[in-house]
Amino acid sequence: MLHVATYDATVFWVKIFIMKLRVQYRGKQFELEFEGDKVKARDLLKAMNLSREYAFVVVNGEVVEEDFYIKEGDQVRVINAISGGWG
Amino acid sequence: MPHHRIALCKEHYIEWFERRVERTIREFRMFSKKDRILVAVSGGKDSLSLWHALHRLGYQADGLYINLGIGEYSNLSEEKAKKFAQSLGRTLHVIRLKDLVEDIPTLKEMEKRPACSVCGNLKRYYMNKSAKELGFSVIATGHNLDDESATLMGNVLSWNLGYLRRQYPVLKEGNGFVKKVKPLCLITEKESALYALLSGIDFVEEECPYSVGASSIEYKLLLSQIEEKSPGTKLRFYLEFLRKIQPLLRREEKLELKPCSICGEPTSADVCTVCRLKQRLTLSGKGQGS
Repeated sequence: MLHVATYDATVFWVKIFIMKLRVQYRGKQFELEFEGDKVKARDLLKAMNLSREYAFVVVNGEVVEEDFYIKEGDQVRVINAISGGWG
Repeated sequence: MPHHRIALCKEHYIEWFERRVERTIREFRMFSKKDRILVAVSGGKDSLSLWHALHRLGYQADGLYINLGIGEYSNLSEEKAKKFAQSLGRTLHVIRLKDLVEDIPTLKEMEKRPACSVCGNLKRYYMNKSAKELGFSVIATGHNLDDESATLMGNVLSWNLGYLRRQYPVLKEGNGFVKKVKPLCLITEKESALYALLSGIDFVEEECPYSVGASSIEYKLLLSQIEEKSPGTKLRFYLEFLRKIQPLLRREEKLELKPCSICGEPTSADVCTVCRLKQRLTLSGKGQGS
């Protein structure tokens, strides 16, 4: 006798928030994507492979600390202070 | 700022920066309020921050901008330098390499050596010549602590004693050279960038296209990694070199300079490097030959 098993399935829908951040860097505009609805300035620098030793983030015209949360729609500028050559 | 063990608000940061520049000027006896200072301006954050700070500290400082003829990069930096000079109400003297010798892209092709090497020689030559012609007693450049510690690292790795002997924030007047100083030598690149931003200075962020892959950047990144783990390393490396090693090397300095037989600028040879370059250009049918 063929036994057919049935299962009571519950479907979970998971919505992943992806935020798009427009960043001004060295005179050019870049678009970066992050999970969630906000990202720390520290994580933005990490994503751009920059160290806080020589780089920092400006959000809506103000220099922000590394723990500052940046949201989609913020005006973001990343400054990399390291310059090429000498002088 | 972990290497100084302080945290500051905007207003106090600007005050701190300017006080630090003033202390550096006094510690190394760079110049006084009576001197006419010519600031070598590139349109970048360091030279504009320097000029801004000197102006705020009450020094008589005008700027010199040398247009290197590197396309859009040079156009943009000249424009920013001019706008900045206007905002300060000070004079910006502008000279163009194309009018005097040739532009950097042409020279780089001709010389077959790194653009930075040709560029550096020409900038130093014309800075010195212009300062004398315009009656300035001091040239100030925007070299910062990251520049100086990276240079030091490079010179130590090759044990280049000639360069190490001459690495000091003040190069005295003499032998046809105008006094040359680096008032930002104890300020990091990040501190300089922050000052520029907080002071509302519009500086060029784009990098010189010829600086890609420069060893100076590699050394700066390496030193930054060490600094992150051990704050204060760069300052200690540079200052202790100046205090302990530089005096020992200077005692043995035997450099003899004389005026170039063509232009009169100081050189250790009979004809200086810039006049030799102009001769090569003339022979190849290029350049102004002046």
